[in-house]
Amino acid sequence: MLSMLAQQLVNALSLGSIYALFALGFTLVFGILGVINLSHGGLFMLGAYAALFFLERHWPAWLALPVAVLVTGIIGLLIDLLVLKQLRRQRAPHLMPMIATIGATILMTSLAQGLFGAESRHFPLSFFDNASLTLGAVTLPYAQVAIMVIAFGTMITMGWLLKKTRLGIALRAIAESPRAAALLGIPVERLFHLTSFLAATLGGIAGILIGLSFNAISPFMGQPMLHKGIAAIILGGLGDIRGAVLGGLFLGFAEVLAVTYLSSEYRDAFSFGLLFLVLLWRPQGLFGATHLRSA
Amino acid sequence: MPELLHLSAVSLEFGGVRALDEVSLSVQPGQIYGLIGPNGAGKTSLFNLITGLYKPGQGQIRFKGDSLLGMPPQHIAQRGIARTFQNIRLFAEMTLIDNVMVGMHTHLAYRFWDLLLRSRPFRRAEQQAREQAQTLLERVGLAPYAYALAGTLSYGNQRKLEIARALAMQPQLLLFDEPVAGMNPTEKNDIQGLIRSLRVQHLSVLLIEHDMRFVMGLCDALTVLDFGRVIAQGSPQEIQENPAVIAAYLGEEAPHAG
Repeated sequence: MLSMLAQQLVNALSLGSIYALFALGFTLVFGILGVINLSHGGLFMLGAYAALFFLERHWPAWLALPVAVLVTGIIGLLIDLLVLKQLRRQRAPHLMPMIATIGATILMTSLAQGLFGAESRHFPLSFFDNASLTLGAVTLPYAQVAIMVIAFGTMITMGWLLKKTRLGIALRAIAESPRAAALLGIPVERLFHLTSFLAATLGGIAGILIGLSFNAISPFMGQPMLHKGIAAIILGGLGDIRGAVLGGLFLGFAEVLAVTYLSSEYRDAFSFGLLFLVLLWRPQGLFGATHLRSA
Repeated sequence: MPELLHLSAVSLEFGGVRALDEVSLSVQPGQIYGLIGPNGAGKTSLFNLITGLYKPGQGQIRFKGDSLLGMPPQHIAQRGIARTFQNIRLFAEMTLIDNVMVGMHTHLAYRFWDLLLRSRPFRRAEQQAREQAQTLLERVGLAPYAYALAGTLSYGNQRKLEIARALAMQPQLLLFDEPVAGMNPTEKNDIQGLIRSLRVQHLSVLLIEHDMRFVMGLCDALTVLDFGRVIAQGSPQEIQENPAVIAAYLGEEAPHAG
């Protein structure tokens, strides 16, 4: 009984870490560019399919996965250059980027469907059947270990970048006031591009990790993930880095516990119901009022 | 050596109202230049023009001989013009040292690649930036609060932090908008000393200030604005004897030397 709980907690941590990674990219764009980028779910799906594309061409995983992440980052950058930048230039109202990025998502989903088919696919990787690590009562498949190392490693690197480096300081300054940042000589537009790129790579990594985790990817995997991402960042407090990470972990735990102790049909109902209750109690989110600048 | 900053016949209109009317002035290298005038005379508007926040309707603004017209604010800042604000614009939720380091962004001595690899040039540059920021905080007397949040500082200390942040940009021209507003006499003296020390480094300063004792004791040259027009230009001595200036200041405190 206790060992089952321990096993489930590990599962929750690995699933939650992927949600957290996804939410981190999502909140980064919101905090710095000030827009809700609804193509983040599409980029998540794209990361997984880019990985599939290279793996099917028999690229080794150590090369295929980073290249897939890079490709996702470049697509994220293109969305910024071709869509968001144009809207910024015309000082478009806040709803416009949301609608435009929904359009970008639909485009990406259709492309994936056209190129790879609508049915769900899996990565041609053998290490899913491979041995696992046993720690006391807990069994850790190597894939799960890899997922957690990559997810937490990426999040720690992002945290370090934002908190400790001058680049991160400049990004936080833009989050607080783009105008004041520009007057201090910070190339705000260029850092918007960089943020879009970085956020897309985080989305892409999350997509690949979900693909590894469930051994299944589909052109429609972005939409439910987007809902979870929105839930995670609202739960954490909009624009707050730590909040997004903790919101993602919370969601992972809620889902795994629901599946374990209730039934898998009620998974989303349970986790979103819990989210609703938390928001009744704290409408500003768990970390509301503090923002990206206090990364 | 030519003028550092040259404004010729600059005009600015807001909805048909002339905020600035053919203003011309020149700041020489190493000069401390004062901009004074009653409230609403257009002093801050002039700063906003120089730093690229407003676009002039007419006229020319040159810095080191190059036109600044149509240039976005960050490019003007990168060319060597730093400023502080009348209504302070610090990053309230960042630490003092981070606020100063924001000003150093233009002098990043590494590439994004170096950052990801945490290479030697990157680590050295970051370390140097932190040390420089600490030195600047010492210079304005805020070193003990380096890791406090900027929003927790007193009004006078926030102004000092803005000055440190502007200096971090390693500018050639500093624009100070009421740098000693809200400060006590001791603090004002400190800032006066600090600004004088900038001249030793051959920095130029253009400053807006209402405290006449402060302005007259510090500036090499002055321009007086009233309703967007230049009504007098010259040394502190000449300005104080100018009848037009005295008339403009009637009803307000007449300018007098300290």
